[in-house]
Amino acid sequence: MRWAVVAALAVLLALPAVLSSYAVTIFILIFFYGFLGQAWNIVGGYAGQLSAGHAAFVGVGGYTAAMLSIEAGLTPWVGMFVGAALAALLGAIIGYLGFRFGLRGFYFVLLTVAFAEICRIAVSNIDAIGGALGLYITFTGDPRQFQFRDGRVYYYIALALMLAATATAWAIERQRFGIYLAAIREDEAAAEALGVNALKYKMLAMVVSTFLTGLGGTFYAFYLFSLQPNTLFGIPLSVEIIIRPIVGGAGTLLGPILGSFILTPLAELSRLYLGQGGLHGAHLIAYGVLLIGVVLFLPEGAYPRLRRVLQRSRLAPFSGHRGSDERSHAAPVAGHPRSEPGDERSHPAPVSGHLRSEPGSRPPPQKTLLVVRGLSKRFGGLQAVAGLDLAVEHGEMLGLIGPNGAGKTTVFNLLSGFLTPDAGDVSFRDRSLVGLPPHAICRLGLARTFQLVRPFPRMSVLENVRVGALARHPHALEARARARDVVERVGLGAREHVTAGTLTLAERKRLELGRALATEPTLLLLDEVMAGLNPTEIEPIIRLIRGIHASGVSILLIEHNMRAVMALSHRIVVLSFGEKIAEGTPADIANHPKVVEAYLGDEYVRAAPA
Amino acid sequence: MTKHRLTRRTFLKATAAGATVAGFPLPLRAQPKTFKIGVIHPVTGALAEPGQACRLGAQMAADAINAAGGIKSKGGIKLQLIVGDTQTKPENGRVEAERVVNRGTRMLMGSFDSGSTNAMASLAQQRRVPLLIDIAAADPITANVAKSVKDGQQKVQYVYRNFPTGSSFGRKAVQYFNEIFKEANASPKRVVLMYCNDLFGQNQARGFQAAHKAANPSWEIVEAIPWPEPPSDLSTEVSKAKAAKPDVIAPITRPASALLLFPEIRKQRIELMGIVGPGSPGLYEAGQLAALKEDLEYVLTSVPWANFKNPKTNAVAEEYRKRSGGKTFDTNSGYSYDGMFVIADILERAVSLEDPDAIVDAMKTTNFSGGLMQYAGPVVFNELGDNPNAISTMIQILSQKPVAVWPKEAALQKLVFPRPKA
Amino acid sequence: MDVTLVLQGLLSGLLFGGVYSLMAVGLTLIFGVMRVVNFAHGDMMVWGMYLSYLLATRAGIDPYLSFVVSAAALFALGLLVQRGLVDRVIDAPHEMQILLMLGVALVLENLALVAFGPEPTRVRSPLGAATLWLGPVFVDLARLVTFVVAVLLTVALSLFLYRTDLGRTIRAAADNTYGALVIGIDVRRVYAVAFGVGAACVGAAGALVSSILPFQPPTGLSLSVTSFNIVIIGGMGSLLGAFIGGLLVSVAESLGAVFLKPSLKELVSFSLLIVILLFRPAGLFGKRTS
Repeated sequence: MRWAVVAALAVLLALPAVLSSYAVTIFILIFFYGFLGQAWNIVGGYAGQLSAGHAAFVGVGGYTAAMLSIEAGLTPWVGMFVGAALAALLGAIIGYLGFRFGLRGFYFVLLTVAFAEICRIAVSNIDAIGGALGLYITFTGDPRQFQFRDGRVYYYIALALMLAATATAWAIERQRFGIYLAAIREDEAAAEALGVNALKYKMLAMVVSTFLTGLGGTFYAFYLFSLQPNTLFGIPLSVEIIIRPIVGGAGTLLGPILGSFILTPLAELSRLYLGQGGLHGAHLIAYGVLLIGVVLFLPEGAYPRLRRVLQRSRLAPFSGHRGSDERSHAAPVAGHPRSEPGDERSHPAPVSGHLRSEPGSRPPPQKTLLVVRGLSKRFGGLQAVAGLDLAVEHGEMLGLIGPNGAGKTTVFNLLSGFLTPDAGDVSFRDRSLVGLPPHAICRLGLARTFQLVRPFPRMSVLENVRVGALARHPHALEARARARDVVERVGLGAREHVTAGTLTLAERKRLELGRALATEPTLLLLDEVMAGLNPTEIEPIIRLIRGIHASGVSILLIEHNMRAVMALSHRIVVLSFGEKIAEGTPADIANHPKVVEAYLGDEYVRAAPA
Repeated sequence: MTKHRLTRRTFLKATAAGATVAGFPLPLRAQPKTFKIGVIHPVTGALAEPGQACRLGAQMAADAINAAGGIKSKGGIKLQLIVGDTQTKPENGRVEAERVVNRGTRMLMGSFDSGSTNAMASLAQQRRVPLLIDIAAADPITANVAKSVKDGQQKVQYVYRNFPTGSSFGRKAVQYFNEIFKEANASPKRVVLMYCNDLFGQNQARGFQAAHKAANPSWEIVEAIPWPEPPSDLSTEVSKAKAAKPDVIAPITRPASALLLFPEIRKQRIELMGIVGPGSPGLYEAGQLAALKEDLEYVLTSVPWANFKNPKTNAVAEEYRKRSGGKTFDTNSGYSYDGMFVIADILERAVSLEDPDAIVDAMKTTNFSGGLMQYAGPVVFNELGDNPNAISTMIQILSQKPVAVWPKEAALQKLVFPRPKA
Repeated sequence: MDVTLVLQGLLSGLLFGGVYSLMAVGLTLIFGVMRVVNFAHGDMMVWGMYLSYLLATRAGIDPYLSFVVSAAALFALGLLVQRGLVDRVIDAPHEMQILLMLGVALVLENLALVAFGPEPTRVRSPLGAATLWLGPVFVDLARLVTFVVAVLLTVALSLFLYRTDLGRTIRAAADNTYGALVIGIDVRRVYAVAFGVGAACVGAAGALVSSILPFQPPTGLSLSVTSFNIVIIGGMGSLLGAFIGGLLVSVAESLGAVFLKPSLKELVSFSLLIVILLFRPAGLFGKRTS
């Protein structure tokens, strides 16, 4: 398949020799929009942050280079990087505001549109940079001024831009950066819990994406020789930028390029043949129908579909695009060659104690691992947690029980950084966790699972676990090997290439456990890992938890299944209405009058050990 | 070579398939005895309305030229228009120009909006295809090319314009304001300029303000009020104008904003001597008159206007009305119509139709007086490549009809200023 | 600063807010129920405008009556779009929904171009240029009527949503799709009705403002952008939010025109939008979700 890529490149390099100048122009547009689409794809596709204001970055890049060229005589070859840097700065500002304030989905879309519109209106009103009239660049044909008499030069520049963006995307995709972006797109909270600094990686994606887009602005300006705020900052250009990667398949490496190869010539052809008659607008109707058709019939985009067709016809899959390949596997392909790199590098099973080791500092085992003092949290009128004191010793397995609504999950959210306490302190290995974000807490060695499991549904089991493993093993291949060990360990070895979205509930619970385990925690918070499972499924999970504990991980578990809690826990803490009402060994708890009262349940009575 | 043929064939196959699907047979080989001209306008998108008018005007002119025997000095060669649509996007100015040039056009005409036109102009220079700008007012389009030729960066200027530029519009408007006030024996002091803040409006407003500053007349521009185009509401803008206590409101509108502005001026009962605009296209359209009725009565505006004293103009305008479904032969259709005749004149005089530089030589020496628009003289091109004789005319809406009222030689009726009190 | 001008700006802005409120009601309804962002919103409204234009010019029917026809036609269109298109991508990723609605917008806009041509137009208001003067400031009667209609429509829709069985069902489905399924609500049907009702509001609004706003086929985009602005500021899914948001955006823009260069007035509404997004993303009247 490497040969196919080389051949495709060779063809693209040779084409201008035989193409008409019009065809060259069409290719320039294909490359240029492929480039802009790929740049957008880094933040809009991989990271799933739908920016619908990317035109603003084209505008900032183009205007900067043009102004520097017109006013200061600076060659656009330098100006384009200044422009891109400014675009990236604007991208960082918009990204920071959006991400810091937690704007997702449609809200982020509108934030980016609003910023682009503000830029457009502002530029329209600043006479010094041309106002609404815009800037007009004189054609000189001087290569030092980014101008060429031969249109084919633009072809090669546009091609180079597209390849550069694609190489960037490729490099991102195969590294931790790209894997983290995919995790963030799938489920940001779950990613955070696995040690992913979502803000940081989203910002990085935004900066890279907007820098590239800013470069595109210079090309636009010096290819078309005029810049107007309405066209360079306008919503229509933003729409042009996003539709190609979406049609091709957002978040895939070749999607933006394929999308551009489909849509750009189609727009041209439809204008050519439908735009000539008296029915002005017919070609845009056709274009609209095409977009609708893509959504209905290729809901993942064209590239994932094309890839499946290619695989079915037993053509070799594109090597080097593995990350995206696996991401959208709907089902494991029969006989999928297990040829991934890293496979052969088999790792020994982790020795006991390995999992709790954190590079550098191994704490003295005598000290109390987790100390919670006076922890409180109020939601409106509801005191969810009230002055809770709690301690987990090294090597301990502590059960946290209580009736529904007692505040157990809130405690987990407070410990793992998803909520900030109103009062009280959480000290983990002598370090206060209060105010730390979830990913930092995870990296300190405190991992959690979610009661309602949150797998990354479009990733395979192995990829899911790899996200966790990356917290300790930044190299993707190494993390993959570690992940494979963990997958084996939680009993999903046979299912490692299955898309997580298709797993059964029991398997998802194991996956949830495995993912948290892969972060190599010292303390593991398990939130009802047995809920919803039938007795035959529960037994192996109990064995699994025991095994994890035996390997040296301390565990704090919330569980409704009393038999399991009683069997597993060294000590138990009972919550009711946010307050600790009892604490002690399973036997103490079983006979504690307050606990019986709080539960009022025969279930509990029956489950209590005799 | 094999590769070459393969590619070409595949490409032809694709285009032919497209043509069949769409039901338009595509002539794959050039008809002999035609001279192809690329005519590019925005026939869809925000500027579809004027773009469609331009296309029809150009087509009518080509039909008329062909019916009269084509380019006689070249053996009656016929004009064939290869039309293009910019969709009001600059990139398509270039793409469409590239496409039509590729189909063998040896001259270009277009393209209404200044962004696309500049993209076309750069291509014209790059590919050495003479371009006649029929409409587009931004000064730099021609001035930039002229400068680069003067500086020796370019050998030949291929870009010429038969249309007023933003600055010449402004100068003419200030001149007309002065003349009209004098003719009417009125001396308004306070003028409020109101304009749509898009490319067109800002260009016109800047030209007007610069010309006003240069001429230093007895009236003052007390306030300039730009609005975002298209606006959804202009009542506060008009209140602001009212607060400036104007004697005259000078609006620069697009058809859409005109529908808001004029009723609002009437509603707010501003004591005015009149509404005199430096340039608002479209006010004279039947649709606008029907929608605005009395709000437009006595409104004066300076626009490029057809010379209706010329009987030929009336005949063409009548034909245009029929072919367009009732529209006025206006700035857009008119200048595109004239543009095609200017091209025909150039082709008649060109030593060779094969050599672009020969066509340019003929362009430079143009002295054409067969235009239907109101000019100050024959169509000629100055050192920038612009026609200094392309001027606007002051028209006034009188009894719901647009009438040329100034300059005197163009006037069909006497202007009414100050307007009668309601 | 001229006091009369400020007062007039405030008054004009407030009254024009009725137009903005009408524009936003249908959008907030559709989003509130289905969480589908209707990018074709503005183009649907333009169709409502053209229908009332047709009825006014061809049959002499006043837009204050013909809005019923626009509403009915758009109801049908909404039902069709929901059943035929949106329904199939309700679980698809965000970007696919956006792409779908962009496609619908493109088709609607250019169908309008083919059907009605590119010229901007406006329905002549039966109220003409009627004004009511209160000393130095004036009230535009057509806007006053629109304002009242906006109030009535908001009230009527609230009654529909809170006092009728169908309305309650729609709200139940909006609040909790899964729960609605559990208690036996045919969610697909409810969605179709909700989209239809939302679209009908858009159509009615289009007709009712067609004598105030000029329109042409590309107008849809700016209508959509403004409506999104309003709905976010007021709170997605909130009728009261759409109403108050409309007034707020309109007053903000009007006062922006008073105090700034009017060509900058939209900066005020976009800045307001950004502030709301950052500090109160659920909008002024939206339900906060954790």
